[in-house]
This record gives sequence, C-alpha cells and structure tokens, in this order.
Amino acid sequence: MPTSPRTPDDIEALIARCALGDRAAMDALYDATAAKLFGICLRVLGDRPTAEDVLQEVYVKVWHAADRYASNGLSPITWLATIARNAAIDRRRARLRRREDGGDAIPLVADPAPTPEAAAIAAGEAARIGACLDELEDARRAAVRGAYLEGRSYAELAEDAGVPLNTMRTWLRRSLLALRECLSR
Amino acid sequence: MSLTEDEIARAAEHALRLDAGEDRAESRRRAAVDPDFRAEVADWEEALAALWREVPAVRPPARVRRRLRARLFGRPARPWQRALPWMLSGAAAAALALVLLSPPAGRVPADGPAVIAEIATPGDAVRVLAAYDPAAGAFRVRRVAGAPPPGRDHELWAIPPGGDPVSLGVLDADGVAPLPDALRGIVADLSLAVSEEDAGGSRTGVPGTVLAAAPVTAL
Repeated sequence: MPTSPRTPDDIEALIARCALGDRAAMDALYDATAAKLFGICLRVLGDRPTAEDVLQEVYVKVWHAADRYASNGLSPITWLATIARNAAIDRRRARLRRREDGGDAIPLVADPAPTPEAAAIAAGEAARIGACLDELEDARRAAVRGAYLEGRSYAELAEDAGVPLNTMRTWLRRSLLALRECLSR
Repeated sequence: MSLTEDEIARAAEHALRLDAGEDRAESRRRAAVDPDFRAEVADWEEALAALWREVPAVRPPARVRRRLRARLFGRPARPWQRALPWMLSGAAAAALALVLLSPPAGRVPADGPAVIAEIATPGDAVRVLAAYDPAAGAFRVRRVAGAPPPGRDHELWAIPPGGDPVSLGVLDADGVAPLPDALRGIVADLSLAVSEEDAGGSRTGVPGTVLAAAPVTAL
C-alpha cells in the first residue's frame, strides 16, 4: 500500500477548498485519505460492505462539515479519523441494538500484528501513547484499545473481561488518568 | 484553570464515547461552554488518534468513490443518457410544485421564496419531491418512489450552509413538513436530505444512513 505523499498542511488546504465547494479538492482529499479511513471503518465494523457504506457517509459528512474544520483545534488527520471513527461506531451500535433480541454479539476482532511499515511510522505521538499504554496491565490496556479502536461500550468491555460494569468503569477511569499522567511527563 | 481528576476522566470518556445518555449530553454541553474542558477532550482525541497508525490502510474499491460522487454531485456525467430523464424529472418536479403550492382561494401568499428540491438516490430507487410553501412555512413533501424497509422509516432533514442537519420529521408518502422558524429566512440556501432510520426516526438527533441529499432550487 503506497503511503500518501500529502503533508498535514496539504490535507488542511484540501479541506479548506472543500469548504468552498471545490469538487476537485474533494477528489484529491479522497485519494489522499480514503485508504486510511477505510482501514478505520473496517477495524470498527469488521465487514467490508458495511465499511464501504460508512466510508461513503464519512466523506459526505466531511464535505458538509469542511467549513467548520478550522474551529475545532484538531490536526486534519485526527479530525478526519474522528469523523470516520464516530460514523463507524454509530453504525456498529445501531447494529448491536438491532441484534439485542437475537443476542448475537459481534465477535472481538483479534489484534493484527503491527505491519513493519506501521512499526516504522510509530514515532512521536504513536510511540508515546504506545509506551504509556504498555505501562498498564494487559487487561486494562486491552480495554482502552477496545474502547478506542473498536468503539466498545463499558457493558461490552465488562463482558469481555468478565467483571461487573462498575468495576470496568473504575478500572478504565483509573487507567485513563494513569495514561494522561504518563503522556504529560 | 485546571480540571479535577473526575473532569479529566469525563473528558477522556467523552473522547472515547464511553459516556452515554445524560452523561454524554452533559459533557457535550460542558465542551460547548468551557474552553478548558473542550481542550482536554481535543487533547485526548489527538493523543488517541495516534493509535490508528498501527491499523493498516486498506484501499477501498472504486465503487465507493463512484457512489460518493453520485451522492454529492449528482449522477455521473453521461450526457446522452442523462439529459432526457433529468429534464423530465425537472418538469415533473415543477408541475408537482404548481399543484402543491396553488394557494387555497382567499389566502394571500406570504413573502418569501418558493423553492423546490428533488432528493433522489442514484437510479431513483428512492425519490422525494419537496416544495416550500412560504405562506405555510412548510415543505409539502411527496415520496414518488421507494418505501423504507419494514420496521424502518425515512426521515427528512434540512441542512443549513455550514450547519448540522435539522430533522423535519419522519417522512410519509405524502405530507407537510413545517420548517423551524430559524430556517425560514434561509430557505433558499438549504439542502434537504432523506435518511433511513429505525422506526419512529433518529433517536440521536443526527441522521443515520443518509440516502440522498440535494440543494433546493428556486422555482
């Protein structure tokens, strides 16, 4: 998979042009970011047809929200990734609600091993949060990752770990405070 | 101003979307009015987003882009195929608007633009015509093709420029959708969208699956 040659500044400029209704900018933004955002949708949702559908929704949202990008204080990639994550989680939770009667839980997607490329990129922020997550116990690290990368709820995380919901909530809040303390060192 | 541990944990839960219901609504209100809390949520989003670097990028199939273009910008340009149906549907929409908008005898039309919109999925599986009646401050809406699957509803949304979608209610085959006062002055700048929702409409106040959207056009 070729990585995008676009810098964050390029992405930001494309978002700004989208806000003005520039269709060519939308195409270029899609070229530069769709593979990343599709990876996110796939990770949260676990199946391709739904991920394709949600990816399309993500870019519709990006197109319509582009003029509000500047005010949110996030880096362009984080902004796009957060829109993709939110859309995928919305879909995942709607699907879970529909399945509540059947009790057909969505299986936890196994963590794929990081690719060599990903390992090479793991610098800066990624290395920092990775190192800080490594300071947590295994079960708590898995809970933080499950919450972020798969959008799992407290109820699901509690079930995964076989602990009561309140215990999971206490664990996770403590883990998050430890994580923040580590990140601010 | 520094945040308490509880506030920091709430900001993290908000960024992770672990909060729900009233807790989530409260954090959203807080983020809207408290710059420190908002910055804390953004810091969490930024820090956590680094985790995506380990998730492999996957090239989506070309059909996603094709559908996206069709949804955002209309059907792909194939002039020989496109012109006639478009003209027909435009004429049908205008005729429908005339019927929908003819004021009952004795009523004086109010000021304000009469606009129409045709909201259709590619291939017209779902097609909705809407005509704004300035006198009533409402869209007259007719779904001319496509019913929602059993147990699901279509919902109509107005999207102001640069704003979030505002629900105009669950869509029947034929009905009237009043426009909130705040949107009446900018009706000519709105886009309308149709989404598919659980029965009874979106419970979150945001559209579920947007099927189609279109800007309104002046009559």
